[in-house]
Amino acid sequence: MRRTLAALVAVLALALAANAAAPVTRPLALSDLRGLVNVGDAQIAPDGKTVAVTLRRADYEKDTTRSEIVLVDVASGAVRPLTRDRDDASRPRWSPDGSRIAFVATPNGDEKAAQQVYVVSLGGGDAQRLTETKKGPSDFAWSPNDREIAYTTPDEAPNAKAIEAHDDGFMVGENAWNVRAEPVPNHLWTIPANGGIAKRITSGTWSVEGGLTFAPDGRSVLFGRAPDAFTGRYRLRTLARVDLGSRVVRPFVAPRGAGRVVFSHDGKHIAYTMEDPASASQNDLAIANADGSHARILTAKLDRNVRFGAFGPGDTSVLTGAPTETHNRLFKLALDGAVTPVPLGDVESSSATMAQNGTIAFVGATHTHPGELFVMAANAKAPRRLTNYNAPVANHAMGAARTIAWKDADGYTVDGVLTEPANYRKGTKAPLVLVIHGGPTATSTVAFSSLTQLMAARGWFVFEPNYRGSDNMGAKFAQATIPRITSAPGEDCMSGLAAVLKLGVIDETRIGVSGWSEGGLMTSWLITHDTRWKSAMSGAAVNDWLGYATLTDARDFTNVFISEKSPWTDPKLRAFYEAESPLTYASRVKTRTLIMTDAGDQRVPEPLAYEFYHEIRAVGTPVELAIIPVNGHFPTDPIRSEEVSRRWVEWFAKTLP
Amino acid sequence: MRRFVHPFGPATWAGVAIAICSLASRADAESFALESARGVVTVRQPAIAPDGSRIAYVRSRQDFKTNVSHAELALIDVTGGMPRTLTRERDGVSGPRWAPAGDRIAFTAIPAKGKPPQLYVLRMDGGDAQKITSVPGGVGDFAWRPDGSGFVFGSLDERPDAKAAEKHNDVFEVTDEHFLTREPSMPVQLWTVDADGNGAKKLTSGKASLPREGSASMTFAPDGTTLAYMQQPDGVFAHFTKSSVVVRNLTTGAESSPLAGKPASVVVYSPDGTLMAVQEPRHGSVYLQSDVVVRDAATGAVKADAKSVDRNVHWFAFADGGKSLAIATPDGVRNVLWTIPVTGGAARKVDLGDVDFGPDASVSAKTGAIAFVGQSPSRPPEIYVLPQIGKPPVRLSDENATFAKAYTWGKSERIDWKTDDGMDACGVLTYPPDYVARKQYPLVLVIHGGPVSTSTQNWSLQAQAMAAHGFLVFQPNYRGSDDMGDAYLQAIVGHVTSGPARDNMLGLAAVEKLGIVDQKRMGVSGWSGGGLQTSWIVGHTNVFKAAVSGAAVNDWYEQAVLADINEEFAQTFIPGVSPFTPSGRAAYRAESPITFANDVVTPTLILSDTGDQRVPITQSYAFYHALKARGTHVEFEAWPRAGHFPTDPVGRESVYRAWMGWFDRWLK
Repeated sequence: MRRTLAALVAVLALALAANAAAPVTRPLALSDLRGLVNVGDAQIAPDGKTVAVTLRRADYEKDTTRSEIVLVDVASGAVRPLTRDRDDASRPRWSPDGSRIAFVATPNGDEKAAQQVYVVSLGGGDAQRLTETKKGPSDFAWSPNDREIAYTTPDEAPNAKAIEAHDDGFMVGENAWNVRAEPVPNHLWTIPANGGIAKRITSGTWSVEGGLTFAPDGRSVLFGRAPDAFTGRYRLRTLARVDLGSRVVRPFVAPRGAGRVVFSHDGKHIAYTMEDPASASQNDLAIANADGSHARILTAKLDRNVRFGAFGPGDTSVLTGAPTETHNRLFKLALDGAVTPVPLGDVESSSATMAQNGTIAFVGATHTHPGELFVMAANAKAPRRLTNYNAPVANHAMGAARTIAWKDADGYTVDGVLTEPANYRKGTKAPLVLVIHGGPTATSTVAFSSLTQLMAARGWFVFEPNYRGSDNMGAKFAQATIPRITSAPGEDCMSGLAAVLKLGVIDETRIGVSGWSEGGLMTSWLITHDTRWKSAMSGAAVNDWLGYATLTDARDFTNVFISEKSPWTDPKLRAFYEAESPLTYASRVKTRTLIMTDAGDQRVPEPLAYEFYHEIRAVGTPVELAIIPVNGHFPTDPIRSEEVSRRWVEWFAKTLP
Repeated sequence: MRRFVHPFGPATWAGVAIAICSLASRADAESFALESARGVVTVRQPAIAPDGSRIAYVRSRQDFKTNVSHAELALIDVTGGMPRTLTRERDGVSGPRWAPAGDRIAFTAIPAKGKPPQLYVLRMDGGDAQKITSVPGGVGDFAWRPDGSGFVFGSLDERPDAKAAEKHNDVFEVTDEHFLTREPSMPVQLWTVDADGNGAKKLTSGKASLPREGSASMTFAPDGTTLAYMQQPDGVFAHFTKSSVVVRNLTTGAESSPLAGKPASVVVYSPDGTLMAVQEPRHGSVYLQSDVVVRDAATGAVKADAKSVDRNVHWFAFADGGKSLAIATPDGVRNVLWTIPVTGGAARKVDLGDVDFGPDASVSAKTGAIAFVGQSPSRPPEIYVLPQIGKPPVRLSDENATFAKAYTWGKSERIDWKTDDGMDACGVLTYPPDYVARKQYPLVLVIHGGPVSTSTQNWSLQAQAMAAHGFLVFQPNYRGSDDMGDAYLQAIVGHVTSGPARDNMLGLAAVEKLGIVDQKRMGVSGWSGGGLQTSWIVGHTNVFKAAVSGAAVNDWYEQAVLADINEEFAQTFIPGVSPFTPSGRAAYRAESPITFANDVVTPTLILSDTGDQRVPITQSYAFYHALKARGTHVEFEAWPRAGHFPTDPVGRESVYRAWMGWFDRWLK
């Protein structure tokens, strides 16, 4: 449930593609990415023989993304479709006995209908629609005996009738500036896995916020509980447990920020992710007795921001994954915390599922090859790639990536990824573009990134610094941005730039800086604190921390990263907010700047873009403000997300030469 | 259609301007409630026939089931009788204009839900109305050619990348647009079309635009080829402040503009075409007071001006065969009519008895009779005719007769006081309908927006509903209001928030002197500029027990950056500094309620539309979180609507209910 300013740059790794083809030396162009196939959510069967994966392909005609679920045979790599003629099948989950798969999809022929939970038998037959929710399932889970599925779905608005009668005024709370209705809570339901009547388990003004897990005896369900339906105070979420018989809800012993609970095979232990005691922006993995007692942190030695936990065969180890330095990696943790990296070679991944025999499945990418499905038997020496959808993309000439490390002013070791121009001739100088990730809890890795390679294809170096606050160096490093949320990372970006310039390959008269979200914040900050930049692209930037704290949906963000006090009542803190805001220094901007934002960005509120735009314009510095007329923190549809990439790259093509 | 609606004004929201209704039921014993007014019929846009015999007007009824106001065209004889409905089953009927020969009426209406309005012509010798245009950008303003053979009209250009945008590639750049903008600002071009629908043709192209909202004020010289109208430099809404008069020869396409670049908002040719009456801002900004200036049509030279009226002009027309000007303005707590010879001289206020002249009127070309929307304290507006200046006005419509008689109305009276710098100020006090002398009552301030507007003594849904709940309702016309002349209006400049706040508190003191106010039970409230006042006042005094701050300008910096009227509006009232300099930022903070939010202890209800482009809801979020952080009791209700105030029946009533409910809760 950790919320970040979204590591969109990494996510920009669009989709991927079809069949293998002969290598081409032509560098990557935007149009080449239209064939990407996004391979995701690898779910290995309990017996380890089959993997269900979700394939997403963009439809540029209809401007939607279609997804289907396919089954991949682990032995042969043979692929067969599991779903047919469905536009958006996703989230496949094996029943514990491996005989069925539940997934979500929208019933055919009705684009406005909500998604529903389906179950398909591996013994044959069309998928059966289980649920009839009005607003779709938010999360679901199988019961241990395969007979039941628990799911959450949003309640109806308590004033639904009044709304229907157009009387739709609502009380504002801890929500984003652009909501148009009071948020409604999610609640827990169960339904027989063979079909039947759905039964409501929980109700109230509080909300079930995902993380559903059945206890091994099947009599209770664990879940994340939020005190209300508002998004803002996301840190107030705790774990709870409901008895399915009595429907009594009780707190489940667990520290702040606890995520989904998983049980050991013998049912005696649990593992879950939780906030690191030293840094609210790092997740540790804890294990405990099944009742939550005797909890201890398993990742003290690993000290990385872990994504998940899964008990290995015999419950003697736990599999987890996390970014580290400029890589995504999987790790085997012994119960004493000893760390054994999974030997992934040049394949990057920090998320996997595991079969009972210890075989793991995951989606991995290499430096030049977008994500594909990989499997790895227990104790195997290397992963085995099962799919090759994106060979047409991978066959283009790519810029080589390398890791650059340096010391910052406060003595932290910082790193980043430097990507060369495609077809680079050693020894020549080329322009440089900084592409700074969001978050700050995120990491730029050497894995394939479409935006990076589009820029490398234009003959530029691309530098992606993992400034302090990134989640690749441990809790102390993640914490080191607090409370200097802007200035400390800003220093790291500059010391990183100095390290890059030392290589002597950059044309220093042609350096651009860019980023989205927290990377936009960095961009806005860097152009208010240095004039060396030839041009800048500041996307969805936190230009004004007070405005951000007032208007964002993630209202706890500043509580975590700056202070739990309110800037409204504490003048000193208010002054600190201003000192850390690019807006305060906007009159210094001399860099030609493109600003981009979604019109309805709830995370980094769009008004912050208008503020910065007007300030720069008043100085007389050339500035453009491009509006993407959709809601959200970054466009999710193929056409507009491609358009953002196009404008981003073309802006530097226009301003760097 | 001569009215220039102040963009920041309460005309869009105030209960004052709201319509009213029909009558619903009887109800002698019943006391008036918000819901009682659901049947009120709103009348507007009276268009008198050239021969003065009949008046076409728009009337609308609210449908609370479907939540729309149904507008239709009605026709009433000036000799009286029942009105007759002219349009059937049409939506969005608006802007009736008689053909010069009086044989047809043109109007705009929406051909189908979600489609832009088109131009229709109705023959007055029978038959369904004929749709004359099918332009993709719809028809905004229009005017008959003097020979009745056709029209000129304004229509919005399509975006140049319309095809790509249709396929979702719709990213675009903004400059001075407001923060909710989701498509590029395109210009409104001038078109012509024959009266039978043939020959539709775009006459202009390029960046320049007819006004993006409101009237283009198209006016023909008698030659039928010379057209004057308002034009702004481009299609960005905020640039309406840069509108000036363009004169165009429709035969040659030549533009000649004796008044090019001179800010103005309305232009009208005299009947003989030798003169042009132009509404012009006195101090260069249309956000401040406007006067009517009479100019030579050919040279633009000033022939006379009507500054002696010294009130902000809301409507004007040539009257008396072109020998005089009729001018409507607020005056004190009333709306009045003035006449002034076109040669200049002293303005004379027209005696209309107890009827107020709503600034929505037209003049008969032949008889000089004036049709207007008449207002009074005891009933919702009706259609009136003034057969001749000097004669008494005659009420023609009786749309709200039963309603008006069904309830006992609270009495409204004018309260006068002096500002702390010695200016005369006034406001309206409305009493509970069952008021008993010498008893004390809780009081609610309802402060108008604008700031350039006026609270009048006329029937007001909100004031009457509050009075019926037992409150004294006080509506002060603080400095910046347009009812007391230019000096009073101008006194707000440089003190946009603090100046009016002092006036409002002194006005309250004048009411308190009457000895009828329960001083322990006072509330303060307002919308827009009135919300600004409310937020400011609770940051500076604790005398109020409760506050309702609607769509408030809590932060002038945000207002300058995000609103559709952006920094130019702010800079009119906080002159001499840019908000984007340290000194300017400080000046903006000094006049912003958010700066004092940490001093607020008054329980406060914040209200806003989610899609308010005029006063962005972001400022309400800031005030809300600031009050909440310091532990003040604050609640915030929002309505998922575009616009500065809900215009739909349910939404509007819901706002008033929440507003009044807060005072019921805290003051009773």
